[in-house]
Amino acid sequence: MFTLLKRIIGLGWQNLVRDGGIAVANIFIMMIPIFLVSSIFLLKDVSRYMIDALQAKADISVYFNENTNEDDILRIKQAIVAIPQVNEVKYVSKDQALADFTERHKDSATLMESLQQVNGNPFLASLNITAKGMSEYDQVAQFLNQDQYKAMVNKVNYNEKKSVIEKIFFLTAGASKAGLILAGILGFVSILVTFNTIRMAIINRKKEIAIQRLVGASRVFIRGQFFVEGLIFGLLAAIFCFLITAGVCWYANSSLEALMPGLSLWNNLMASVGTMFLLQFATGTVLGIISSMIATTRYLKA
Amino acid sequence: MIRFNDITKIYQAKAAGHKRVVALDGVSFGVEKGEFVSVVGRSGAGKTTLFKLLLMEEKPTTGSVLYKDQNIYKFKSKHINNLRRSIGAVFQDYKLLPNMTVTENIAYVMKVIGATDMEIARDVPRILEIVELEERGQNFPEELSGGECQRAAIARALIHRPEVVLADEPTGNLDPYHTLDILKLLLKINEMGTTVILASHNREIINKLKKRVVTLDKGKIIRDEARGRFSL
Repeated sequence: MFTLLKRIIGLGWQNLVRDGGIAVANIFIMMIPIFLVSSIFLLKDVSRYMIDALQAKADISVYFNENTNEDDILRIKQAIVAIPQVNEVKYVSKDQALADFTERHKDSATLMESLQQVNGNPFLASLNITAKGMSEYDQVAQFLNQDQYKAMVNKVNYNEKKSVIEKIFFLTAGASKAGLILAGILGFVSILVTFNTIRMAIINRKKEIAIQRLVGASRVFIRGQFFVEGLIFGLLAAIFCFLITAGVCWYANSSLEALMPGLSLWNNLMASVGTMFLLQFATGTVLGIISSMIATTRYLKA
Repeated sequence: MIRFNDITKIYQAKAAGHKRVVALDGVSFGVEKGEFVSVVGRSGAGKTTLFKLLLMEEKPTTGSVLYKDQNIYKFKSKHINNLRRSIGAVFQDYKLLPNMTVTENIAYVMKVIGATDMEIARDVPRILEIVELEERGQNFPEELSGGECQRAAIARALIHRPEVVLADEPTGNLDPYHTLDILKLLLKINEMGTTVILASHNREIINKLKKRVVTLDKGKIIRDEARGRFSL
């Protein structure tokens, strides 16, 4: 058994080395679906970041009357935070609102002048709320509409922002779906291309398979060689892909971080380096082995 | 040992305008263990088809082939492998594995039958010496002449001491010197008990052998003589 295994591995490796050109072509073709899988794996962080950034723009604000006590506002804040699916509730005091306004419009003389004329702080304390979906915003709006809060709440801008929030959620959900569908189509096409390339390479060797059968080689003996070849193709393609992926992440990291603060492709890759390599290795070897097995089956019947 | 029973093999027309070909038409004959049989006939007489049927490369349209009293077309995969391993075949087109050197081609058969590395290392150089290819062991088939390929194919057919040797035009590309040597080799292994079936259209060789001759013409046996001569 050990001798048989040793011979199968030896012959598989020998075939691969002797057919170097075809082997290189196969490895390159196999890199396409592996790259695709790796990209989906890495870009999910980027797309999550972008979707989160977009969804963060969908928020509602509740403004409190002048006489509302800060402790009451913070109590309401705690109650809203407790609603499941609420992402974040940020309290903006009257003073903070004024400071933010002044900082934002310090270059506008007209606005600054108007502010001075008002003589005092015209801003109200507020809570900025972001949630994970439309239904959660409804829930928050209903919560604030309770009688016990009516005396404290001056205004909830939910109805004004409702259509914008709906559009944002529609867009982000659509982008996620479109991404998944696109990845699925590309994945399917690249798998077909890989299968076909390996099948063509094996068709070129059908005469060789027939000769091996004629001298009495068993199916296992012949198929084993192609199995080993497929495994090595997958392994080499996975290693090359991994090195290229790591290189791209390292190179693009600083530029991407400048565009998307807080997102580090390199750190994300390093955090899941084992999973990434396993994913690439599994994609490569499974594709290599299955396509070799399917292609040889046809010529091993006799 | 081997029995062809009323074998007919028809190749159907593969496209419009093509004619179907009757390669063998009701062929029946047997070969005893240790016998040396020459199958002669013109090109297209059906000699190669007969060999293809015994190696199960093709199936007959009607009839059966018995090997050691068993219908080979009822064999399961494992038995087919065993049948092929017990036959050493020299093919007209050599059928050497293109990505392997001469040594590797010969060793491949030994690997298939499960010979040890030691046996391979011992026997392969020996057979290369017998067929005078010791200098060509590391060459690939495409680097060899037709005659050298033929000798490599003969070496591969004989290396595992098969019970039966099928030789389809084994001297077709050889010079007279090597032809005589290969013939002597086939006779020698036959004397040692191996059954040899030789297909040839070389009149000189067949007449020199003074062995049984089965003559085929247009897919039919027209003569079967114990100490026959090539007479067509």
